[in-house]
Amino acid sequence: MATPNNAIPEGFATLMNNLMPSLKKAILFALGGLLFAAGGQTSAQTAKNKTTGTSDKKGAKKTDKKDKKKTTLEKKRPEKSSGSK
Amino acid sequence: MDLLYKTQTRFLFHSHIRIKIPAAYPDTVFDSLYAVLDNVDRKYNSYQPGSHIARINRHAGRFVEVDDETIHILEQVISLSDFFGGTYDITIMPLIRLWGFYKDDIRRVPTPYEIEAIRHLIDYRNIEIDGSRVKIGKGQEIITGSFIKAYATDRLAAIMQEMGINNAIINAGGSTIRAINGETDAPWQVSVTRPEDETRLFTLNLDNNCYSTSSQATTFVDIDGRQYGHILNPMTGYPATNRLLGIAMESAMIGDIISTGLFNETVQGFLEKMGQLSQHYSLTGFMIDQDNIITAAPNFNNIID
Repeated sequence: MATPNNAIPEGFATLMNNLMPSLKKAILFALGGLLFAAGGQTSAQTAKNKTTGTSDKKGAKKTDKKDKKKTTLEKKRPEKSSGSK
Repeated sequence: MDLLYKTQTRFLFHSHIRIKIPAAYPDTVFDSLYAVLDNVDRKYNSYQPGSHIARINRHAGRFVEVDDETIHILEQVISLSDFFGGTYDITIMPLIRLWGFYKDDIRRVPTPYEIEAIRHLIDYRNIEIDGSRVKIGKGQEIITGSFIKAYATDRLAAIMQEMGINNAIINAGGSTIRAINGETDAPWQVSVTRPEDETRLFTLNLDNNCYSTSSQATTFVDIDGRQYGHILNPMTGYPATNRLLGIAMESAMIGDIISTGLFNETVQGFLEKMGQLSQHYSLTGFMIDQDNIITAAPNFNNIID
């Protein structure tokens, strides 16, 4: 008997039935692994912050380290003293 | 009519360096001026892997051939270190690493045992100079951070004056500010603010001299509500407790070293050492201690508004 176009071939269905339990396990394992990795990363970050508890004002300037070769014109005015060596 | 000036800011020595010169000069002059700073940075900054100082550090325990300028720099630094008797020491790098005040290291309070274990490495008297060769003890490491930017500023100021630029200011990261004035030019002014809230403290008038400042307010580690500043006392292994110190004198390099060295002093020690230093240098200065009390050298009023 001819197989209808929308029917699953018998051989493929058998193969899928055999593979499904293993496939499900593999997907669940992979998802579990991903969740574990993400959780681990969060824990590590939290632990790091708790351990150091640091406040680094110098760090706040990190985004602006590129040279500003732009020339500006200005009058004589007081220079601001700040920072430290 | 007020003169107009041109300014540029570039990032060197881990700082924003701002140079301000009369507007009549072409923009291309800035390239030549920053090249002077860059040259010092590459050759003598301990943070630059190819510098003479970095080579001395890499070969700790062995003599390293260096240029005359390295010898000259180290001799000046050692001479001032002798004056401070251990409270200023350029071999403090192992302690700085231990606290995490190095680049982006994680900052933490080391244990007393950890501090004690490296204390023997911090001793500038183990820097040996033999002709054109330099050796430090095994495990030692020199850091130039307390003076190299100022040394470069001195070099730049001298070259600018040779070029005829005699009305300018170099603001190296806000902590080393060198003014250059012609005979008829008004002094350059520097605004000094309180470390805790940045409100105005006073305005300094600089006339062909430099303002050098050290502060615990800008770089610190805050652990359990307590701030530990980055200026460490080589004698104790712990951060100095004063809050701000400023020195005005002609040499930026010597001013920067003095402001760091005096940071570990008590108020009385500060006044005594300023008195001794004034026999050798024309200088003045002030300090703010941990209780926010301001103490100034007797001649400090001469330079403030």
